[in-house]
Amino acid sequence: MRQSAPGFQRNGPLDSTGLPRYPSLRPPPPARISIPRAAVLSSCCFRLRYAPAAPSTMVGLSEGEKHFIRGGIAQDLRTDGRRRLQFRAISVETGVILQANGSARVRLGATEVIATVKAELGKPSILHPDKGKVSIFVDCSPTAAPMFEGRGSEEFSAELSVALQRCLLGGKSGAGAAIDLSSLIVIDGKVCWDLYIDGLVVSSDGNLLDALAAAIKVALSDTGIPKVNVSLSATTDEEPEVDVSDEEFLQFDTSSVPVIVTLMKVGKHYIVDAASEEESQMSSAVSVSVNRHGQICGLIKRGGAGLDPTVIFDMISVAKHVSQQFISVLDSEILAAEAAR
Amino acid sequence: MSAATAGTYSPAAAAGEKRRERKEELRRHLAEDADWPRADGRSFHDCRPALQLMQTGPTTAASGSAYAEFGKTKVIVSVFGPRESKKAMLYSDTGRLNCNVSYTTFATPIRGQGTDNKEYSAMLHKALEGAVMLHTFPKTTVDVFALVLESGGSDLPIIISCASLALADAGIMMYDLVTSVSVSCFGKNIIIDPTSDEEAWQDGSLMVAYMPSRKEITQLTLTGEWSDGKITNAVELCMDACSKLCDILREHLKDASSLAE
Repeated sequence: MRQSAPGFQRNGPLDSTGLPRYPSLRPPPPARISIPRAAVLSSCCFRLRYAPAAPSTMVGLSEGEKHFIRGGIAQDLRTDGRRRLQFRAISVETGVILQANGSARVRLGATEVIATVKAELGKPSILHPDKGKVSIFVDCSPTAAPMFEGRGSEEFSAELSVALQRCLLGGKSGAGAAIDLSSLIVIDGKVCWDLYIDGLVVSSDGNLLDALAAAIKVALSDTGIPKVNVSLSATTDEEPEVDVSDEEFLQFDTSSVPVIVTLMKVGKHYIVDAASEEESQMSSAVSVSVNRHGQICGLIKRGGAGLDPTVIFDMISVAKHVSQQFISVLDSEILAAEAAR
Repeated sequence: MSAATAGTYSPAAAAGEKRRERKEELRRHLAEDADWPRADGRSFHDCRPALQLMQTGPTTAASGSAYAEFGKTKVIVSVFGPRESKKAMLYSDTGRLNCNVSYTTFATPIRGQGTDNKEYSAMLHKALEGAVMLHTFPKTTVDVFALVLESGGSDLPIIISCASLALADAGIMMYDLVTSVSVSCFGKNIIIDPTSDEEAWQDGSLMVAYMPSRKEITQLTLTGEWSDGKITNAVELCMDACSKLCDILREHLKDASSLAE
């Protein structure tokens, strides 16, 4: 039942790990400028906290390093050789968790996340008898970074979960939602599918929100919902009998699932896909969720500093532009991942 | 089984039935593609009146407090501090802002539903963080506790506006008062300051927290499907309403301080 593209060839250049490169990524500079990874120890309890990806020296950035990062961004040449609006190499793998109905692993540079989709039969809520339910949770495992242990990770996971819910689940009436909730209904008011989307941060090197949203998009395209046969009894008040098929599966229409692009403002400029050192230098950020048709499906501002309204409008239009490239790259990666299975 | 349920009164089911009727009515209006009268008689771009219903100083034990009532929504915010940070906190040369939003169990039609809004504490913190001069109270914490007595729509924007009034009442240094307004979108119509019924069936929502004198947006959230032009219109509408609300708060603070003298 899974969609596959038989004649599909990966035509992008492959890097040393054998993974397809993000096409617009320029070849890396001959000598990578190495910067000690930084732990950003923020005192404020709600500010974003990012931890180093490797258990190397847990030191903050020195003034010189900060200056170097900010100066590089101002000159459109970031510390890892990228331009301001360039993503890191993305790699996608589907079907990594066999227990789930759909799953995906997405790597964006050194950031690595897993998203899974599990479907369970449930009862629709009283207020929305004609709709199924979708919930999104994110877990930051302490195996990714010591910062994710205990209470610190709870707040951070909650922030990511809320941002994803806002950006992917759409308005209350269902407009702009990634998943059409009425497609999850089995019997009106009685039985529906409850989708549990779980994100796991395996390794953290910045830009977790965009990576998680991409992983969810890929996992949904990998998801098969079992076909349900209903035998309605004579009286409609009785609980209906449902028979879940373990052979036939239905695929989702994932064409309307948006991607999230986070633009960070560093100095006067915006950057996409910031690594954790760069994230420590942001004054504020805007995460915009955009679907294939260029419609904005969700937006959330992060970071404490206020922003001028014209700057926000400008950031939205830049994010919209970048997102269309990101969607097409992600789509070809999904096809490649399906073909590779 | 149906006979047994008919005998017992279930407020949740009754509320669900009523809301579905109102939803049908709204859908009819949308299908007719015409303006419709809002349940409380406002036009699309009218906010609920705030003039008489924002007060400072309802709680005496707090350094500053404020009460706001917009239609059915009733919010009380107390500000404590600046006071010594908890021992477990690391040293910090800027102050901390600790925000907490809670709902009473009777705030919502179905008891205890307010716990759905766990993210409000973090959202309130983000909206205020950019406005408070944290460097003026190093090593200490300012606590902002908000309690929603009754939820009647646009809860978070009202909490934010009320919290900035309470902060001003407590004499915490701020760059500007933060006011916040939200809009709901229905088809191509934009409705300002929605009630909870309107929020329940909206196609999308947008909330702006704004510092009118500095012309800076401290928080912006958006859900649902929006085109570029609509976002611009909605944000401008919100900013205009925020400026007007800010003038009202400012007048109120001046009146309160002249009365105190």
